[in-house]
Amino acid sequence: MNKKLISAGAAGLLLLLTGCNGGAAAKAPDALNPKDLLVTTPAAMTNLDKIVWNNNFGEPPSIDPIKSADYPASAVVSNLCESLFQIQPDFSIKPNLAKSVKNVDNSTYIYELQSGVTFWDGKPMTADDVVFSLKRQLDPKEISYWASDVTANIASVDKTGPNDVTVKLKTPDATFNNQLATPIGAVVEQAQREKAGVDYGNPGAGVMCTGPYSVGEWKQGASITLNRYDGYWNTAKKAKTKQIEIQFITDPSSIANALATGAIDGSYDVPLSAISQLSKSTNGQLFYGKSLQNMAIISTGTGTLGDPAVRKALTLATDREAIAKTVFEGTSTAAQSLVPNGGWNYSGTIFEDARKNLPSTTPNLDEAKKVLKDAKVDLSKPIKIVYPIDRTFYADIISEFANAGAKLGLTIEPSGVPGAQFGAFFSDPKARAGADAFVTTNYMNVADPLIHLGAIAGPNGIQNYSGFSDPQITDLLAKAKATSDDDARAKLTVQAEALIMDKEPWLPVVDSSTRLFMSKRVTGVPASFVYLYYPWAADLGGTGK
Amino acid sequence: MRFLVRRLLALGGVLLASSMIVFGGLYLAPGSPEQFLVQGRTVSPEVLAAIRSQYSLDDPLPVRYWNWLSGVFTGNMGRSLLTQEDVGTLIASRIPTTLALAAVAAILIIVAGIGLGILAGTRGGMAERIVIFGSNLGIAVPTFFAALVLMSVFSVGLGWFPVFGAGDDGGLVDRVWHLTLPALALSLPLLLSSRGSRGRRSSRRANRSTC
Repeated sequence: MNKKLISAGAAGLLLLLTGCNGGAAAKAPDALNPKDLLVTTPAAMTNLDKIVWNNNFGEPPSIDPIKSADYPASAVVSNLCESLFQIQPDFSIKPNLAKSVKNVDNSTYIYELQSGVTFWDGKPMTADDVVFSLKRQLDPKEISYWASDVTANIASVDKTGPNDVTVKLKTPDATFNNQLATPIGAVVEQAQREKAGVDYGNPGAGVMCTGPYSVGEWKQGASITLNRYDGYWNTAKKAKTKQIEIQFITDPSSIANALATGAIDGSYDVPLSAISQLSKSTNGQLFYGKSLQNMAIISTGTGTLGDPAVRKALTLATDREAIAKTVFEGTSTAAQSLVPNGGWNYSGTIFEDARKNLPSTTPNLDEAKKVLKDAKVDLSKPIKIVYPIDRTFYADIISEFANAGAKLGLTIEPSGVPGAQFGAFFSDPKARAGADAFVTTNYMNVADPLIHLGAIAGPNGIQNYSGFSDPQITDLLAKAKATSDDDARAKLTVQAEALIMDKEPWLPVVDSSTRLFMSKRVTGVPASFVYLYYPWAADLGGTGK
Repeated sequence: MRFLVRRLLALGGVLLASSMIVFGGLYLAPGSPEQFLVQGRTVSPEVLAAIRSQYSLDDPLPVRYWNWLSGVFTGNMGRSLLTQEDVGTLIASRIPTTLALAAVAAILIIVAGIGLGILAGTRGGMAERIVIFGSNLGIAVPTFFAALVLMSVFSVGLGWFPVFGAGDDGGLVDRVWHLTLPALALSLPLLLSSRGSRGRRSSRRANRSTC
């Protein structure tokens, strides 16, 4: 914890320093246009022997795919373990280890498996391995972080042919294949899993998967090296670089220095405090990519902010465009919905058109005052918003909300708690007691607004932290889930979206972009936010310079 | 000899008491361990129950402490909650770098500290003032800030030293090259010893003059 505090302090000081020298840090860049955000970077021209990358989020606690549910692990495991489906840089989802799928009434899915797939030890992937892997989600002893309402909806998983696996669901779910692009659909070798025992996913026993890279040397506390798997089944997507060494540097100024000097070739989502230094770098380039990440304030459903009218009024009054420009150094845009802008891979026009009917992000104090008249709670009670104290930028965001709140006669109290304690806000209702709200930097796993909205506002949603429930919304979400046709499903989804944004279980703050930095030497990775589940390192190669 | 035994017993007592406090602190900390493990995720009650049983979280605190303590004496320090890895292995993988860093810093403190102290004590005048100023600066500037400045000047600016890494691939020279800046940052406040050696020297001189 102390270390984190120190690094935050150091980053602040560094900002001051660069501010004094260049004067650039003080000036906020121009607002970002979401239309300019990139999907890919120029394709690799040459194959390289070794590239050094950095995982800004730190070391994976485990590389077991079912325990990879956050940045540190997912950004590494995405290159190692593959799922039945795969998210692409343009957010579309393609069959991967599944070659094709037959869908019966959105409740029975028959997967024909890709042939010729081998694990890193050369053994072929079998239907038994796939059945075993999917069933791991259902076994409490395996402790899957992906066990949720989605996996609880699985009635059975069976091998129904030498190369076929059939999944039956309890209730229809048209989004199920999209869910299988996450580690819910990850395939591991059964024999190695059983042999590894409790050490599975550790540096000792590791994992046995089918991805374009296998695990090389894992230097604990420092780095993990990925080695190209030369027997990779998808020859068109064979890795271009022999070895990728992924460092675990988390200190923002160290990251900035390592990238600026070329000691590290690249990194996704570089720290905000490094933006001004890196944008002037002659050693490489910053890329801003399409993202599925956003920042929001989650209501606990209690206290003053438990009233939807108060939530709406506060959002309307707050200058979120200013937050995007200053706190996020112009790398974000004000959020109109809890679905990040562009976070869809079907029926784009329907989702885009729906934005026109959502409230604008321009602050509107008069409208906010009008909305606040509908509030039924005691407005004099302070609103306590909790944030992890080592992430100082949250304090700046909350203070912007406090300014707006003051204009409405609302008192907002920021409350910083240590990071380890903050984690409990997401999982323990007891930890949330007494707080009105807590902050989140969130992301959609896959670009499916229905999955995301269901998680936030569905009755058993994995991210429904306030017991939010609205019969009309629940009904629309269930209907959409049972609808096969993309456009028809999208229309139901945007109806639910409009109702959800009228209640705002979370206060939308900003939509992020993916901040990618690469040295002049390397290129090829997606610029968009797919590095958690797409084997980005396989696309990484040389520029020829 | 008796002094040594007494000291060792006291050390054991302090270790035992502090391990109890730390262990109890984990118990009292807000948020339960299984919630910490799944942070950010809502998982089924069965999964939480599986975690509780895997880590014996339902046993009473004294039992858990005893299990841990007896484990330590038999070389089993348990498993990390975060990485689910054997704690002994976790520590073993990090200890070489820690020891090497401490050793380089200690050498710097001894050589530079005493050397500067002798210089200040024997030469006096300008040299003494510079050393005093330097050691005051060393005490006043926080280590993390010194590290930042050192890195900015010697790694990024001049490129003399690497910006990251512990140099555990190469030989001794590579190791020392990687650890120089961190060790320097670490030893700056302790170069205070230069003041100590200078101080003793000047007080001895003072004694002599009164004779």
